[in-house]
Amino acid sequence: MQQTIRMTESEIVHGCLKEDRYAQKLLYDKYKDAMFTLAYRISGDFLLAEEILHDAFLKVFRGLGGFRFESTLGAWIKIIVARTAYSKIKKKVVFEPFETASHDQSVHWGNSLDTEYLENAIMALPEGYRTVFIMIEVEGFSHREVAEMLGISEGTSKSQLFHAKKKLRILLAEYL
Amino acid sequence: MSEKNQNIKLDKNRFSAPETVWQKLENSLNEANKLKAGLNNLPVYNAPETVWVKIESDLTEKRPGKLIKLGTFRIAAAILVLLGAGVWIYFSLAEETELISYSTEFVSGELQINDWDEEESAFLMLDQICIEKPFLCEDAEFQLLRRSLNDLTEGKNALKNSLGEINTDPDLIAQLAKIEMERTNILKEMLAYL
Repeated sequence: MQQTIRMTESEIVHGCLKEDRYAQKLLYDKYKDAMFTLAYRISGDFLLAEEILHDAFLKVFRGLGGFRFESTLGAWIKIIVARTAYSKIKKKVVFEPFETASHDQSVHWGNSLDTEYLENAIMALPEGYRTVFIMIEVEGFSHREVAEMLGISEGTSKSQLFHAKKKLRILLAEYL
Repeated sequence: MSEKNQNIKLDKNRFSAPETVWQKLENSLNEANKLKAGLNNLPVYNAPETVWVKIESDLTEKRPGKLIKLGTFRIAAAILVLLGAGVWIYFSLAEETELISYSTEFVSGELQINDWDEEESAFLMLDQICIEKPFLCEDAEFQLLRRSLNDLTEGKNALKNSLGEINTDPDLIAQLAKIEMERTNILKEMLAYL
């Protein structure tokens, strides 16, 4: 029978730095689902999300020596996952104005907004809008952080979020 | 004062905000809260177990990054050494080596038309005249021209033999054209004596 040992975040980090596999597994288990979800929401593809999760956690374990405890470990891992995810879809992302964006994803939603409708609407957003919307509205990054991660200006980040919300409003018009 | 402004009531030198502002603000907040609540309830997906298996496998393996970097460095160093040796050998042998150069030239279509025998009948006609009326060809100047013509004709035939049927050597063709031009000029001078 496997014994579960309680470890603080600091102990987990130090265990990981010593390449303690148990600590690494604890760290992975703690964040795997949230990070897999983030990877899926940015990439829009479950298979690609698996690849992102794998690559991101390898970066986490190999780069943990650079973690300075200036933020929470979760926030640090989230940045790595978001960066990894964006690097996988970067070629597909076009930060185009809303007016010229594709309108073929318009969906007529029902009268009640449930999470399934909202999730579908978010995933129907163009990659550029979706990435910025997820990072800011769902994951809580600031425009400055998003701009730095995506290599865009803060202004572009703000306009992408505005257009993303506008598009979401259209998709969810019947509910809101 | 506009009709809209007349609806704003004055209370001790302070303007009252219209009720509509709060209604709009409340609507916006409600909508924002609705969306926020919706976002907070978004589903969380379970990461497949296979991902950890692969991560663990990769963590167990030796890190390829450093090996690749070291390997790349070694390869780069080896290339540099080989290049240096190559340059040294090249320059050390350069003085002893004869340089061979070549160039490719293309003959124009016009030059490849073998038209140098087209006026041969005129030369034959001159020969015929000299046979039939030898006194016309006895002049010393005429004989001198005839020898020159014979020399040129021999040269032309030698060049024609060198060229053969398929040779397109531009130098030979240019020489042949020049000889034929001189033969023609001499023929004109000889005809002037007749």
